[in-house]
Amino acid sequence: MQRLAKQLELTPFRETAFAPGHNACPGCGSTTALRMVLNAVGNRAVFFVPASCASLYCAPSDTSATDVPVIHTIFAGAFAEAEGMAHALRIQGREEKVVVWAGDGCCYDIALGGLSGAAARGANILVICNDNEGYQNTGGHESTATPPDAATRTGRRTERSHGIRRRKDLVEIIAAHHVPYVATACAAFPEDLEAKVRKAVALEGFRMILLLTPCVTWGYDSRFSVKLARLAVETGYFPLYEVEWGSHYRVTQEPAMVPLERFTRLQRRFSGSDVDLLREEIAAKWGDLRFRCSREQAPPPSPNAGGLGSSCLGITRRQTGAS
Amino acid sequence: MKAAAANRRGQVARMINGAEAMAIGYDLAGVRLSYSYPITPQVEVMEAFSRNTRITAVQADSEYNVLAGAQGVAWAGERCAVATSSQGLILMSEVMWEVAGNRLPLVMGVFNRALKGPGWCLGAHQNDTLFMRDTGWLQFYCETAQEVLDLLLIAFRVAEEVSLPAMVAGDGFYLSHETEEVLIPERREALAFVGERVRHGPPMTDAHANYGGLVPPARYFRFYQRLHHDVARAATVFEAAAAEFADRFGRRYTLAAPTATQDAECVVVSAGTICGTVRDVVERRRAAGDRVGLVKLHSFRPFPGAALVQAVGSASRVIVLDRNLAPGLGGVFAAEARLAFRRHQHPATIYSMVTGLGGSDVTPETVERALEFVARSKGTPPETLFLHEGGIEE
Amino acid sequence: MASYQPELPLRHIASRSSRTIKTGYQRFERPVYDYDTRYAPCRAHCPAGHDIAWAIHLASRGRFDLAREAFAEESPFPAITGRVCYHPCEGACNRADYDQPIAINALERAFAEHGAAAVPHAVASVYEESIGVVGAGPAGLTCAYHLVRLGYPVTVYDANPTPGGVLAHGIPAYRLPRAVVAAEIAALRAQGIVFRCGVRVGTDVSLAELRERHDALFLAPGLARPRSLSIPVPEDPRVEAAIRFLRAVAAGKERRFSGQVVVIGGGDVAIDAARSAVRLGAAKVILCCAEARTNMPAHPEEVDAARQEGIEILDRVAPESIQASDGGLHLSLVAVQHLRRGEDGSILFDVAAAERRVLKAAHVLYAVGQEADLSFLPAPHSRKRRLRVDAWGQTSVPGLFAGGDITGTYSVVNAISGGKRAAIGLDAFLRGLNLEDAEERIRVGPHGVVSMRAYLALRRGEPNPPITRPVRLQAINLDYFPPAARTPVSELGHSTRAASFAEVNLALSPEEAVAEAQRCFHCGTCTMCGNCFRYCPDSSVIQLEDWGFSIDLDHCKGCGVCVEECPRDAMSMVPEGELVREGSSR
Repeated sequence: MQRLAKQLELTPFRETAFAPGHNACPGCGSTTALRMVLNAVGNRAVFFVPASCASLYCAPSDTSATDVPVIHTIFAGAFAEAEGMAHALRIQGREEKVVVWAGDGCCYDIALGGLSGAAARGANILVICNDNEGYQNTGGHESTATPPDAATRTGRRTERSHGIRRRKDLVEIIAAHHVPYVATACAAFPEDLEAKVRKAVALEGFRMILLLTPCVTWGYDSRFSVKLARLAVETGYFPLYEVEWGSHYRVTQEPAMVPLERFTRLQRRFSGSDVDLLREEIAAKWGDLRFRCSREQAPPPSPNAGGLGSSCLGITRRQTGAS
Repeated sequence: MKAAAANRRGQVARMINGAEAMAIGYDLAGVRLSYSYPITPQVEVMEAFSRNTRITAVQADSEYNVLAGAQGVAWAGERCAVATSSQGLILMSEVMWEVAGNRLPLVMGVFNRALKGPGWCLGAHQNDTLFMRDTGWLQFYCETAQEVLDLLLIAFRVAEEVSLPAMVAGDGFYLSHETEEVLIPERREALAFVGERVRHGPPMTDAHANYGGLVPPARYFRFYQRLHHDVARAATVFEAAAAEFADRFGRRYTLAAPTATQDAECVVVSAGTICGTVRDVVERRRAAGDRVGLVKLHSFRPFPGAALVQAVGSASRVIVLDRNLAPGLGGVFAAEARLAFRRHQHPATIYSMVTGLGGSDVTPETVERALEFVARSKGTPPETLFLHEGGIEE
Repeated sequence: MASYQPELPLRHIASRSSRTIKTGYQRFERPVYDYDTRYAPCRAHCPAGHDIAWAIHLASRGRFDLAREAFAEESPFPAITGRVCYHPCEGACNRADYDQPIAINALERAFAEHGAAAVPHAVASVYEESIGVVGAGPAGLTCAYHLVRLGYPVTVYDANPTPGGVLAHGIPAYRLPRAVVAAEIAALRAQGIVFRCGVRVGTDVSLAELRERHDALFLAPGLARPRSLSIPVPEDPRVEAAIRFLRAVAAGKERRFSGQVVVIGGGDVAIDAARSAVRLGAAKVILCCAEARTNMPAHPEEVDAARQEGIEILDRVAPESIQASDGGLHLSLVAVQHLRRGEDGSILFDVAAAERRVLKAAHVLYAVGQEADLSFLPAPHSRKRRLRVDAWGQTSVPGLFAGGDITGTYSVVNAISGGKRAAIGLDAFLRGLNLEDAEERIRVGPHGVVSMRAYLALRRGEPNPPITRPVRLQAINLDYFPPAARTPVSELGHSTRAASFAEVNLALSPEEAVAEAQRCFHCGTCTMCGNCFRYCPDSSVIQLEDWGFSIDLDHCKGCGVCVEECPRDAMSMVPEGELVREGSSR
């Protein structure tokens, strides 16, 4: 069986992007996804990380777990900081890609304005939303990404919100900015994730990928963190799709629509929850998504078409003369 | 100003306001990007940025993200123009700490404006910048549009040398909107003074590193210890840069600039446009034989305590006019001045007078009233006096 | 008072790699790659001991050649077993309980068909002791094959003019084409096995002479003698033992039938005879057996194929008499009751004479079992019907080993099993090895299956860990295996079948074979799918230089994601125990 891998022409698995030694929880769903993102983005990049678990696990105990520069920022400032750097790098003729790795608390809540601003301005950044459906770094608190009736450290979403129970639909909000690319992904579908990251990296302008990253604060056995991501997709709870230019929708992974309980039963946060609320949300989301996918549209503008700079970057950009 | 005449080489005189002077200052410093968000009275600066074809002008979604965006530009080692006022500056508060902690040498222009406390009031009032006292930002204050331009260029030199951000502040409207003659240096000369435009720091040169992540408490302590020393060191760096500036452009700046203080018995200390009014009064009083003088503070951080005390000379009475208020304490400059005088064992009696809040007018008569009050005053004065159109009150 | 130290850092930059921080102390359990100790149920049910899951994995990557090699590690001729094995592996397949079992037998044939075999080359003998093998059937050939690989010079004796035994002279060509047998035997010859054909032991050479000539012997002469019907059989050429008939057909002797042919017997030989009769022109073929149709000893697939070819099956009947006349044969059948088996494997039953029917027949072929001819053995063995052997094929006479049907194995694959065990037994006998200790290192599962690969490793002094743990369906991560239908095997059309002995079952195409191979769970093997590597939140899975992974115990926090996401149970979590402190930085 000598040199079998060579005989079978196996490509060696490469790991240069994310080192061990970090202090994420055992079974962390977001470090797995981050590894995949880092590997897909490559090392010609600068990452911005606003306040989150990643503030800790990217730089544990005064060390670096990453192979690219990571700039840690205040909670709501990451998108603009990244945008500013992207502007500077463009002016300087540098090629580094600028990526923001931000949590759902940041994207959905505290920095939604900044996220919208960056999207509207066509900031040349890739935003990866590490969506673990709550403020998990503080120990498991509700965000507007928290699903209906899920238990958090401060009770259930349903108990305290009046009327609105659904998870905020961030993808739709950003898609409504008519940016070049918005997509969802998760680590359980690595090829899909990698393809989306590579596609997004190759585009200019504002791009966002929403990653579902199961978190052990959901109350599950650590070994299930990938399985839950997969079940989230296969139950329809987390559709994998992409939106180009705000109008061209495509489901990239048809879910098997396995029973929702397979997903919820593995998590204590749904213990005693009214799963029908989730079902309603999922049905509504899919109804909407199917409709959007089916609409007839003119073909999306080519990403390499001219005029992207002026039409997409929503800024007053003039010729930079000699200075 | 013989030296000035000798050094006018290539400088062009133009009638402009402080807002334009600020925009020109950034342009002369070679910035290629600007970040701003509309707010009165800063908008004229922003408009000037957008007219400048050498500058990519980004209008962010809030001042918070103005400064965040500018910080991103600074991380790339690129200069960035930033200007704001009042609420805008306060909204930046969280980012201010981060920029200073990251030791990024941003230079921000501020036209001071009152904050919405009891209600909207748009006049000049320095509490917006002074609110940033402990962030680690350097703070320079200007009396004229010329100073806005000049101090901006000097601020770049200082900021980049000590790796700290700096604000260049001027009173809103008085300075931002009033037109005066400004000598504009030649572009090449200005760039030569400010220095290399792009300085790639570690984020772009050290691929494996994390910046500004979790810091162990003991190291956090040391970072601030160093930051403290660097703010103090900025005073020396300023003087050196100002000397070079004088050589090139003929205008000499110093952190505590005295006027007629040699044998003064009473010296007025202030910062900003009030100094112009005070100077008129001082010149008039001197002509009348009164031994009064003025020390104009160009800097709040670093606070030029020793220079101030030295500039005051042998005067026994010092009036500090503050267009700001730390409620419960009094004038902010006065509080710092008191510490400096005590530290340097100067026996002068300090009169802290809060005046011109909300942009209310500080006229020559107002200044005269203050001088008269001090001339008549005996014993220990009240800790804080409020000087306004109607008189002087505790 | 110390003064200000300007060497204080300017800003917070962390550039030392986090790899220097050990996080392994957080672990309570640790993942292990213990697939070496696992076996797929198919393998434990494969008497030949093929590492089926591994071979099918290789095939799933399109490498039929390597898959064929993997089979060849355990048995000599996948092209043959891929056709005639009754594949007990498929009955044990984990996928059978999920949707449908993997078509292992068809895949084995596909490997042989599409996988270029390594060019056979002579294996140089390393030992002087020579071994004689009596009988060139599946048991003898298997034993010889393994012995040559172990380094012994081997001579195989067979009474027939050509080697192959039942493979060449019994099983009809529509199941096993002659050319396939010839090619496999040619490969064995090329490996260095010496064949002495047309040599009947006891007649042409005595056992004593063979014992003189060789250091040890393996006897596998098969069951050459048909068992006789328990009723009087007329001396008539129209009444014939099925094995003689099949042998004649195999030898290419022209035989044609007309009219109705009745076959007596319910085993594979009876079916072979019946299906051959169809091909030789019989107007109708009726098969009579004592067993119930659902309980015939013949393999159900064979029975199905026979019925598809128009053969009528009369079950639960026994012949009472056969009357021969010029007009034909009259076979009187009675109903059978209380069917049971005798100690020697013969069937016993009562008859219900009231239920009687008479069949007319042009020919009667009977296949009610075969007997060994052990007359070449010294007394008392010469009178026995079976030879008793130990677990490694040794008879009560030291150095005299036996296998195949004379030891009661009854199928090609069991013969292969016996031949392999005897090869190990002979090696141990000649080398003075103790197999009692070895068995746990080479056994695969509880059904007596042994691995030649493991035996070779043991002989090299690199013993494998004992293969003790079956992979069960519950341990397979079915998320990775969406339901998929088994690839059907194409068959020859019915009209073509009746007219010739062309092979009925067609081979899977390479594309079909890859698709079918990809259905396989590859239970308990590491296929380098990389899930453990890819999904580790702590980047603590290290790829080994060639094949497999290991765990970076300095950093692994023991979350268990790798084990959970291993699709095929190649890993498990074990309690940390003493190692807790070893993996710790504190």
